Amino acid sequence: MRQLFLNILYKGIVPFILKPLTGVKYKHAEVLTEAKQFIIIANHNSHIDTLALMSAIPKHKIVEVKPVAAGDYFGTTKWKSFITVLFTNALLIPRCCSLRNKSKDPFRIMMKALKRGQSLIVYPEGSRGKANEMQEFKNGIGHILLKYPHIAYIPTYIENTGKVLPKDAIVPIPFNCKVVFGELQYCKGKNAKEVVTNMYHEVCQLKAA
Amino acid sequence: MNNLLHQIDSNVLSFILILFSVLSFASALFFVWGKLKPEANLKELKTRCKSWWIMSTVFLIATVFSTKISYVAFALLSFVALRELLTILKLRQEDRSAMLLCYLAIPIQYFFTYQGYLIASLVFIPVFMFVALPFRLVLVGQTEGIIQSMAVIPATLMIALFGLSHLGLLLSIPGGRGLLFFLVFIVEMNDVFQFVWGKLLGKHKILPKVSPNKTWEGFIGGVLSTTVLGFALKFLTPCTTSQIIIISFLTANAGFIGDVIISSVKRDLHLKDTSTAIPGHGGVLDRIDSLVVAVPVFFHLVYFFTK
Repeated sequence: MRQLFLNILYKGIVPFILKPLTGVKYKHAEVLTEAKQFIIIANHNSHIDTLALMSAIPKHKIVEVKPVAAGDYFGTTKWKSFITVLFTNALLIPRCCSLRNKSKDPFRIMMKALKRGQSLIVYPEGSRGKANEMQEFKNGIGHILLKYPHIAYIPTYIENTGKVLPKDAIVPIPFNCKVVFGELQYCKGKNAKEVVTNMYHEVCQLKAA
Repeated sequence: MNNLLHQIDSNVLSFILILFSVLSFASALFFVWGKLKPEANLKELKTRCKSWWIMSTVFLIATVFSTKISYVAFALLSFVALRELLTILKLRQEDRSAMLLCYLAIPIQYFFTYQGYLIASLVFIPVFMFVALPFRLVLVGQTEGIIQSMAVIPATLMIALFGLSHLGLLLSIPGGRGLLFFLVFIVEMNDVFQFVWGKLLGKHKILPKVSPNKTWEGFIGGVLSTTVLGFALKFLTPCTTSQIIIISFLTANAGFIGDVIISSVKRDLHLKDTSTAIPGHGGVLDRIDSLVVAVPVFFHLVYFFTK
């Protein structure tokens, strides 16, 4: 039921809006079929990013892919979090760690999802930046990958979505956008900082390509 | 069905026949060539040829059956061209509201051409939008870099909308469909002729700093071949022989000019293609670069001669 709903949404309705607005082209999207479980690591400029990535996920996997979203932004009210989870299949996490309260620990929430076999879409920049400019990656995802070194991640570069609908804008303007997926990668580095730095460079390489 | 046959008159049928013969000839040529000389690298040419088949089919579907479909198709073409241009040009975030106006101008302009309002179609962009766009930028109030935006955004609209909308104007005059076929065919064939003559005889570079592959031999051979082709396709137009020779000759030149203008823009932006929309050709704008200049030139020449 949930699968059918998400597929109608992301294979039917969303592309219908996304196509004129972004003319989005996917490069190397085959990689999404190569691994059963993965974490998509992407740069983040716009709400369009999640729509574009979810539309690229193969039909049978879509329920198992969870975009990780900021609970302090999308989950401020019950109604808002309900809508977000319903339409984007999101996994809401609080961005400010309150490690004492276990149910609100972002690491636990994400690791639980990984244990269930779910894939994640993570924007390690933490928030939407300026169009086509990458901010530094936060370390969080590095800690998680060190604990789950067998799970592959896919570095992904998304271009121009920040021009279509930047932060603070209400009316979207059409631009040609591009989503470039990289090869499957596994956790490299001794500590979280190194893992994340490697990731950052992999995404940057896709930008140059 | 009867109605459909009525719509497709004999001239149009012969045009479709010619078009598909040319395409079949090209496909057969590359096939035989590839078999005789397997070492020759024809992959690019074959991809291009395949894209030509698709584009020709889409073009025929958009133009043969109903003029309403044609206007929608032209508007979509303008939309895609505008999106491509605004994507590659480095404009400011403050220009978003002016860009929105550009997109909104598309349906208005095609409404005017659909209704056959000649003067309205001709003045809407160069008079009214040329006032509206800079004023919109002024209202936003960010003056840093405003000169560039004030110049670039209206020019973008001229390329993506004004030039192409003459396709619609052409359809609105009697015998328009034949003229439309004639124009698009000779302009696109002009590109092909220039490429072929350039490959066969090309030695002297014509604009080495802009397009290193373009040669005098290609240019002259292309323009002459196109003029001969225009003469051969006279039956699609209401013009006399001398008129059609002048029109074909000037349109071929205009096509070349459009081509090198877009080439130089790409060069300035350090791009090879404007996007990757059409396999083997690059972006939509790479394919229609010669049309955006040739269409208005052709329209006004025909209008001058036949009115």
